[in-house]
Amino acid sequence: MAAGKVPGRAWVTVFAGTAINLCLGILYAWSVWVKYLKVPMKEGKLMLELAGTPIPQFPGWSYLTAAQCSTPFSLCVIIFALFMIPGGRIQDKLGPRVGAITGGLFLAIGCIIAGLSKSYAGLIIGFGILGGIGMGIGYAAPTPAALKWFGPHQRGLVAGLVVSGYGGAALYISPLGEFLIRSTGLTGSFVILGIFFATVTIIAGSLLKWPEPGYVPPAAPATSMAARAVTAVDWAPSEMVKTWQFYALVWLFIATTQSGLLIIANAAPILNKAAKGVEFLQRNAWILASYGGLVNALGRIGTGKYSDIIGRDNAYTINCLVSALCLFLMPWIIASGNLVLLFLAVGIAYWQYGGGLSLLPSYTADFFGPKNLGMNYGLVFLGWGLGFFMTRLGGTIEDLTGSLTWAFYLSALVLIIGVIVCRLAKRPMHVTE
Amino acid sequence: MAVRGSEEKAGQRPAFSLVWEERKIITVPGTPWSIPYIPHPDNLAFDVFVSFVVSALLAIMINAEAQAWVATILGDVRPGAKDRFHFNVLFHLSFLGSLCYLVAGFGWPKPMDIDPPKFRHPCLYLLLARLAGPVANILLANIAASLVFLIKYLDMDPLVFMMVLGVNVTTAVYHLLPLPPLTIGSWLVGCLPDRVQTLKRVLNFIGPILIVAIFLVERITHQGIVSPYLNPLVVRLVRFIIGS
Repeated sequence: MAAGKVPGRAWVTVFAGTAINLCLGILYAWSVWVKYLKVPMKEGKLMLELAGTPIPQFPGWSYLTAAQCSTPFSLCVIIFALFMIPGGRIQDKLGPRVGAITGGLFLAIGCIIAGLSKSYAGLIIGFGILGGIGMGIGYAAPTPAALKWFGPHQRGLVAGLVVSGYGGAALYISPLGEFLIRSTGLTGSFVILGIFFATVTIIAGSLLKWPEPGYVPPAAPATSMAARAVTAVDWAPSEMVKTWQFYALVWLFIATTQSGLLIIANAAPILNKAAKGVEFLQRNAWILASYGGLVNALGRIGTGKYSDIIGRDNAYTINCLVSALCLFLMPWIIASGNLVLLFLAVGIAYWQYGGGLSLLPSYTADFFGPKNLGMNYGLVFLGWGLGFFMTRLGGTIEDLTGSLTWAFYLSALVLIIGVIVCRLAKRPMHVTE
Repeated sequence: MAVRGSEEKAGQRPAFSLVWEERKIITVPGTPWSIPYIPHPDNLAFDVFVSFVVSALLAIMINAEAQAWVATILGDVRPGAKDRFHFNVLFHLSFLGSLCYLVAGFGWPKPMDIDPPKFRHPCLYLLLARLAGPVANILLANIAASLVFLIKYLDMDPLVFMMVLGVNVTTAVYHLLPLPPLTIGSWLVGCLPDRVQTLKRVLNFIGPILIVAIFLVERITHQGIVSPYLNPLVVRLVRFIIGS
């Protein structure tokens, strides 16, 4: 199948994957429930003495303290991380349908349990434990399945489309959750979302399909930059970790994650404060609320698309250099409090962060082949976790020097090293080649 | 098992986020449990216990996989090995190692099979591979600390991540004990000459039982045998990592 078109099934797999990720992104909407579950404020203070007493408008439910509200969310994040790599293995071994449907059902049952139990323990078991398991298993399934259908010249866009679902979930799920809570109550909102997730993941999950054995994705046109650096061999995870290129990819991931998080964590609160002075934004609060999610999702698709045209190295370089420039200017932007500049800075950070999440699966596929992609990408994804160091380090630097200036400079340096690493890293040669 | 918070009122529970604002905490008294956390009927609230179990699973997984990782890099390559790089915690659990978490707040994974003769410098590289376990635990504790730091921007309380932090630091520190299957112990046994196979086998068999026994005695008699020497180090490391 030279230079032809991919079959229709390939695109069905891509969009089914996006739909599944749109469900799994419910993690982002936790704050909607927190708003109703947390003890109310009075004169600027939380009325902690109300914790454990019934919530008047939702029979059966009791108020939770702020600490309790964050427990199901935190557990969900950790269990997600715990199950993501085994989830990749389920995908590699049993196929994407099993992974996606199992994940979706765990999440759906978790939501229903959380809703019907009407208790803190139920939220921990349902949302925290079962939800986390579902997200971990489900998240690992769609991206590798979709990538198997496409040649290297389309991988960027495809990975971007699939993972944009997870980022884009923030856009629809908060308003939907809000609407459901108001119209059907807390229990109703969890149960309805659970049924909705079960339906979507079963339908979309059964549309996920691997290509037939022996399928060869359409070859790239000779002009494609992305196609030149692609392996023909499928690497096993234990072989992959012996190559320095694997660590290069982990570093690339660390770089994009840390810079994105550092800017978002520090500029977003300032942006929100600055926006309070603008009447238009006050009246249209949804702009601010959905801005990050939108740019994050678009960054995933956009970066993926242009990485297919100009090559992954060039796409990564552009994203990171713009971001590094932004980091160098950050102290000045924050000091100026200029709304437009803040919007721009936060936008660049979200775009770049999202871009990393769509570039890295494609890189992993280019370097180490599609066969063990679920597992291999899971290992590269450890870099995403390591990227969280920087926000903490930023805090330490702030304590030591009294400002974040050096944290921003250091972060920019990590990005620039990332660019250098990415220019140097060419795909490894397998012993059989 | 009671769910904390429904009975407890604000006064008894330290106002964690407020203390955080003043940057005083997380001195260990700031958390609602002591560090190291050891499950006990007094602190067995549902949310705390679930956090503890999840943290212990994470600590076990990262400890085992890090050893496999470093062993692979240093030369003990096993393509297609079933016991490595699956990141599935269930396959890393050992009975006594998990039990020890309930008894003493730390534990160990199923011993990672490493073959020192494959290394260029067997004894040194074995130490590096074994040490990778606790180092990875400290690394994970740092990531948890970052999340503790980050999550306050979301206006949330980082108690779960505090637990991950505490359990991982505890695991790392207690792995300094010279008894197999803990890091230093399994290194010492691994470096014994091949002549004493029987002694090796005996030590590997007795080690875990001895550890659980020591800490059971500690709990039953309320007399510190080992923990008074290690706990200050745990607390100091937690404070250092959290930056207070």
